Parts: sequence; structure tokens; C-alpha cells
Amino acid sequence: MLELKHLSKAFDGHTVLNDINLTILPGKVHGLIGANGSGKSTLMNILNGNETIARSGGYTGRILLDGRDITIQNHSQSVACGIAMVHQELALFSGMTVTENIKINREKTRFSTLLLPELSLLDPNKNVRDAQHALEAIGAHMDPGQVIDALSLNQKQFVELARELDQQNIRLLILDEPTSSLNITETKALLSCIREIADRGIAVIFISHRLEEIMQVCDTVSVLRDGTLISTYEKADFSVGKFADDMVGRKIVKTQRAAKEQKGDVLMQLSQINGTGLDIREGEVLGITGLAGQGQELLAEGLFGLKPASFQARFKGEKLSLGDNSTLTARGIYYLSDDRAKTSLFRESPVWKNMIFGTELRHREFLRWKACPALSLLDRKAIQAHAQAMIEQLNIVCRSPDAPVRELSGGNQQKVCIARALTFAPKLLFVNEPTRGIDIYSKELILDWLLKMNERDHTTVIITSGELEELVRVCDRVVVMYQGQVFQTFEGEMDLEELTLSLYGRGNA
Amino acid sequence: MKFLKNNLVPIAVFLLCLLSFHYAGVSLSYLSSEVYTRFIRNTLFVLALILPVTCGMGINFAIVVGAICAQTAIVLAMDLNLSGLPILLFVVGVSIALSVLFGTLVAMLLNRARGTEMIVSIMIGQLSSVLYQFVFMVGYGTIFHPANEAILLDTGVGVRNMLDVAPLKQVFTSVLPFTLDGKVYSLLPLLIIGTFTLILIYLQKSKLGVLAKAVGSDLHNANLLGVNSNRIRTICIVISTIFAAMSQIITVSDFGTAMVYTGHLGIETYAAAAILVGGATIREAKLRNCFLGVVLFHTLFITSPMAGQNLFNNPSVGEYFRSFLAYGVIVIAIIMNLKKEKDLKLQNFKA
Repeated sequence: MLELKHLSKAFDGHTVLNDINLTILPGKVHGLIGANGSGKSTLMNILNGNETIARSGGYTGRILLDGRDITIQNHSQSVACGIAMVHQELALFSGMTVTENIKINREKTRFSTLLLPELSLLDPNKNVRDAQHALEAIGAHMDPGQVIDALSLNQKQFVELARELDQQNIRLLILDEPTSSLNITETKALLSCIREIADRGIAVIFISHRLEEIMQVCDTVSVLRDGTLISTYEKADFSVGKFADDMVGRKIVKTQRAAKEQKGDVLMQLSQINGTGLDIREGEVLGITGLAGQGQELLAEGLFGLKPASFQARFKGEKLSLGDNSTLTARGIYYLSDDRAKTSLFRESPVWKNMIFGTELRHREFLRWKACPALSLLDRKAIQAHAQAMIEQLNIVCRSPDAPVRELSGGNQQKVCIARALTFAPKLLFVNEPTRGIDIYSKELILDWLLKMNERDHTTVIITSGELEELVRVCDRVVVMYQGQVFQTFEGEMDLEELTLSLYGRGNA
Repeated sequence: MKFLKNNLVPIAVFLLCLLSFHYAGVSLSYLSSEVYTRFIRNTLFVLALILPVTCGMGINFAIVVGAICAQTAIVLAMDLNLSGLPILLFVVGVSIALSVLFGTLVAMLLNRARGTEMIVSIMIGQLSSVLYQFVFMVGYGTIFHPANEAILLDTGVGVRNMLDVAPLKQVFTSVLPFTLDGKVYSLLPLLIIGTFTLILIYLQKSKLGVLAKAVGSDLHNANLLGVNSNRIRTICIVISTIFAAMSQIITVSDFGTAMVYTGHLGIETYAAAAILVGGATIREAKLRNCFLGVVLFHTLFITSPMAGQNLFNNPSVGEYFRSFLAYGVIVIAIIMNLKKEKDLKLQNFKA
């Protein structure tokens, strides 16, 4: 029914989808799996006519519907082709009723005005009836006049499904991780509903990180990795092992840690992380990973007050209050966020300022009047020399230390962050996604420096990252977070496949 | 208890009104005639704020642009020496046309200023006010030459500050007059307000109402589902501007004189204060918030200077209280809003 031929998509010259060929059949559930950033969402956004695609230059390749070439440039073209999508994060409107949500932008009206169709009067009875029909068709029973906020998550999911199925002549239904926030019984109900939808002759694309569901409900499964379609399996060939292999792939190992003999003392204790706890040992490189939204980034962000969190933290036995950053930094605990532009850099300020900001009191040599640090002017000469040295060591490409940091590329900006951490010389460094969106050479250099800080300066480094293969290379231990809890800890020789399965909540906790 | 918590602002202001009325020592009929005057002058301005709030743009301080459109139309009508029904039709027609044009321009700017619509709308209001004053102060008599020389200053350049709009006032007073507290009032403004209230109710029940609610609830989702949010926001702002223009026409005819350079100043602050006093927030506004707010705000507005004079033998205390009321209420309402949103975020996060 739907065929994709040589479909490719690039953002700013960076290829995210590469020559995808895929055939979707009516009445079948087609599973789509892949790691974060493998291109699943981009592929679905193309089919759904998401405006980000058109704004970034559109896609290349062909999309065929029943053998006819079609182009999808905006949402309404996608709707006209009978493509509907249930988004991962529910696209519902709070404060509005179930009916209003189901019939949004498709409202039935009593009459329509010629000049401005928006001014037509609604026909509440017809709309309620339509909503009722749509809900009954998927076996959901609820009052269409209810306000959406009063519903459970599961019911909301059904409202979203009903909204998409209410479209006329729907041919293809895309479900982007519909079960990610449901419990077991709710998931079961949804999965059987998906089967029923498919049995009505509608093609379904089902994206999920939960492999059991995929095995259970899908007829075919395709695996994406780094924007390339790696493999497609029929039901008879399904195997979790194969899926995991295809999702992770094999890569050449570069930077590698030297195995440490001795285990350090406990430096920091995090407890009551949804009932679990985590000890950070002195001198280790600890990796924290997990699928998107499993709470892995929350440890550092919570500690530094960027997001509300409820766990408890003790540093060398002393209780820390979350978000009390002046105390944290005074104890030598430092944090580099993954959101460089927002929380890690002053984009308009020069490189040198970004490198030394907040480290002045730890480096009296940057100050002119060392006797009175709080009121002292900066010693520009010393700072310039330091910045220049850093630029050379980290191989930062920039005009001069005076260039504003926004001029630098993403990789070089990240290096400036690392330079600041180096200048700060923390005891305990939290770093989130240090290699995200960075070219391969800078990646290795950054990982190398993180290890150097660990070995040379005895900094304890906590890396939160979704890049499993990197974590396995550089970390002494890797902790997997699942549903907001510390799920499993890996130590010593880590098996990538086991680690991958653990991400999906499989394996012995 | 919940009722109290949800209606804290109107209840508090109501109690203040009672106190203020008690100490002001004025008669109820005096108060009601004064409140009626302000009710007809202000209600449409306040109603103009509803749609922009619904579609998530906050309080549209740029309703000043609507008032400017109306004043422009009135000056043009006086220039053309119109009277009777033609002057009403002309003023209404021209101000609607101008409101559509300038309202669209305002909306274009506000659509580029997502997230900071309120502050941008304040600045747009100020800017257009200055531009408008410039046109009539310098442009008239130099570039534009009016047919009716009487509207110009004696120097021949610039329109007079006070224009007598007796012909327009006559249209109003001739329809359904009645007497209250010794003064003659017309029911026509009330009819106009009633009509526009019905129009607003219709709009809320139309496709626009639902889509505006959706855009206000979640702009990102609305775009995702193919709602043309910019278009919806533009329509809401244009309608808001038209409402403001109509309100200004009523106000000017009620005065009997058009204050060309100052008549439009401050209306947006009072309208915003009134709707917030009525219990609206910058995220949610209902019709009853408008009507309740206008009555409460103006009761306090009228009685507080007199209460101040009687209590402290010092009328300026009351004047201060007036200013505090107008601006204080806006600030307090915005603070309460922020707190509410923060609580909501925390709640969502925990869920």
C-alpha cells in the first residue's frame, strides 16, 4: 500500500536518514525499532507532514501510495493521503472536552461562512455523536463531554487514538511509543485494540522501545540504526538477540580506559531515587544511561536544581540540599549540562570568560589583588595565557580567546565547557551527554580529556549519556536507569548486548 | 472553601467596595449613575480582552490601536461635517475597516513575539499612540487639508485637542432616553454592548472559539494537528481591535467631545485591571469576569477618592489608591498566575 523508495533526509548537511526503502502492507502491524537518534522520529515526521521537515529543506526520494507518487509537504497533505499519527507525547488540549479534542480542526458546523470559515457555528450534537462513534469503535467507554484533564493516562491515549481514527478514509496509522507511559493492563488493552484496528484493513506502524510488545503485536519489524534501514524481519524470524545486535551495531574502539585495580571509598551517596540508591566511589568514572525519559539525566539536574527532584544526596557523609549550587561548587562538585547554549555557556561572551567563569576564587593567579579576591579586578594577562594554553591543549578552533563563544561550532563549544571544568578542577564532575551532536574526532578528544582529568587530577567523573558504546569504553561502572530507578549496575567487562537489553527493563535487576 | 480560593480577587475587591462606599458617604443612586456611565464606556474594552486571552496571548494591551482607529474615524467624520445616521454609519464603518487593517498588522508583530505578547502589545500601543498624535498634530494642515477648517488650531496646523462631536452625541441621545439621578441617559450604548456580547458568545460557540481554546491550551500541539495558529491568533486580535474601536465610539459620543490627543490613553490599563478584578487570569477569561470586573473596579474607582477625603481629610490619598488599584491589581494578578502555573508544572511533573 505505502512504499518508501530511496528516502533520505539531512539537517544542515548532517544525514539523519539514508536511502530508506520500506513497504507497508494494509492490515499489518509494522514494527519500527532503533536506538535514540536512529531516525525513527524523522521518518515518521516526514510521513506526518511535520513542519520541521519542510522548513529544513524537505526530503529526497519517493513516497508511493497504491503505486502512485505522492508528495507530503504539510500536515494537511498527509491527512489527505489518509495518514494519521498518535504522538509519543500526547497531543491533547487540557481544559477542553473529549469531544472537542477528538473533533479538533474537523468540527462539524451548522452552516459555514464563506469569507472566514472559522466563524461558522458548531453543531454540538453532531460532534458529540461523532466522538461517541469514534470511541466505541475502539472499545473505549467514556463521557464525551468530560474535560480531558479528568481522564487517566490510558483513557487519554484512547482519546488520541479515537481522534486519529475519526479521520475519514484513514489508511495508515502511526503509533509513536504509545505504551511508554502505560502500565501492564493498560498496555494490554491498547495492544489488542491495535490488532483490531489492523484487522479492519488499516496499516499500522508501531514504534516502541519495549521489545516484548513489538514481538507480541507486530507482523513485520524493521530496525533502523544511524539513519539506515539495517534489516526487516518477518514474524517467524523474530528474536530479541537479533534486534539488539542490529540496533547497536559494531564500532571501532578508540579511547579506552585502563582497568583500575583498587576501588575508592564512597564519595557521594544518592539515596531514595524512587526507592533505590547509588553510591559514587572516589576516583571512578561512572556512566549513567537509560532510554529517554527514564530519569537518568535527573540525577545531575536534580542535584543542581535544574529540575525538581526528591532524592537525597550525601557528600563525604555531609547532607547536601538539592539546588544549593554555591555549596555544591564550594565542595568541588561541578556540572556540565548537555544543553550547552542554555545552561553551560554565555553565548555572547568571549571564549576566555567562558573558560574561567566561576573559577576565579579557586585560581588566585587570575586576580590582580590577591589579598581581596571578592573585589579584585581580573588579571587579563594571566587569563589570556591560560586561555591560550587551553585552546592549544584542547585543539579548539577559534579566531582568538576574545571571540564570542557563539561563533564556535558545537564541538568546539563543548571543548570550551571541558576547558572550564579543567580550570575548575573539581573533585566530582557531572557531565551530561558530553559527545552529543559532535563530530567523531572531537568526541574522542573530549572522552580522552575526561579520562585524563580522572587519572591525572583524580577527579571522579559521572557521565550521563545514551551512547552505550562510549560508556563501555571509558567507564569503570555503568548504571542503567529504568522508570526512574537504578535498575542495574555493570562493572568490569561489560557486554553491550546485555546492557542494551537492560535499557529495556530486561535482565536481572 | 474552594469557591473562596478560586474567587479570591473579586471577593476581596467586593469587600473593599463595601468599605469604600460606606466611608465615601454617597447615595446609591449617585453611585449607580456613575457606575452606569463607566459601564457603558468601558465594558466593550474589557470584552475585547477575552479572545486574545483565550488564544493564549495574554492581555492585549494593544486595544489602544482600536481606540485610535475610532478616534481617527471620528475626526474624519467631523471633517466631513456629517450628522444624523450617516455619521454613525461612517464612523462605525471606517473604524472597522481601520481596525481590520491595523489589527492585522498588530497580530503580525505579536505572532513574531510568541511568549512575550503582553509586553510587546504594550509597546505597540505606545508607539501607535505617538504616531497617531504626530499625524494629527503635524500632518493636519500641512499635508492633509481638511474641508472643515474649524477643526484646526488657530495656527492652521494640527487638529484641536477638544472636538465637539455634538452630531454624534445627538444620534445616541435621540434613541431610547431615560433619566437616572437627574441626568438623561440613552439606552443605545447598552443595546450595542448587548449586541456585541451576543456576538462574542456566538464566536465562542463557533469553530473559532474551539480552535482559539486549542491554540491557547497548547500552541505546539495545535500546530502539530494542522491548526493554523497564526491565522487564529490574527483573527482574535482583529476582533479584539474592532471591539475596542466600538467601545471608543460609545465613549466619545457619551462625552460629547473627542479628546483627540488624550482620549485613548490609559483605556487598556483600566480594561486590564477591570477584567482581572473580575477574577480573570492571563490564561482564562470569561464573560462574567468582564461584567463583574467592570462594576467592581469602577465602584471602587469612584468611591475611593471620596472615602480617602472623608477618612484622612486628604483627597490625594484616594487618588493614590486609584492608581494603586489599577496597576496593583494587574501586578498581583500576574504574580498569582505565575504561582498557579508553577504549581501546575510541579503537579504535572509529579504525575
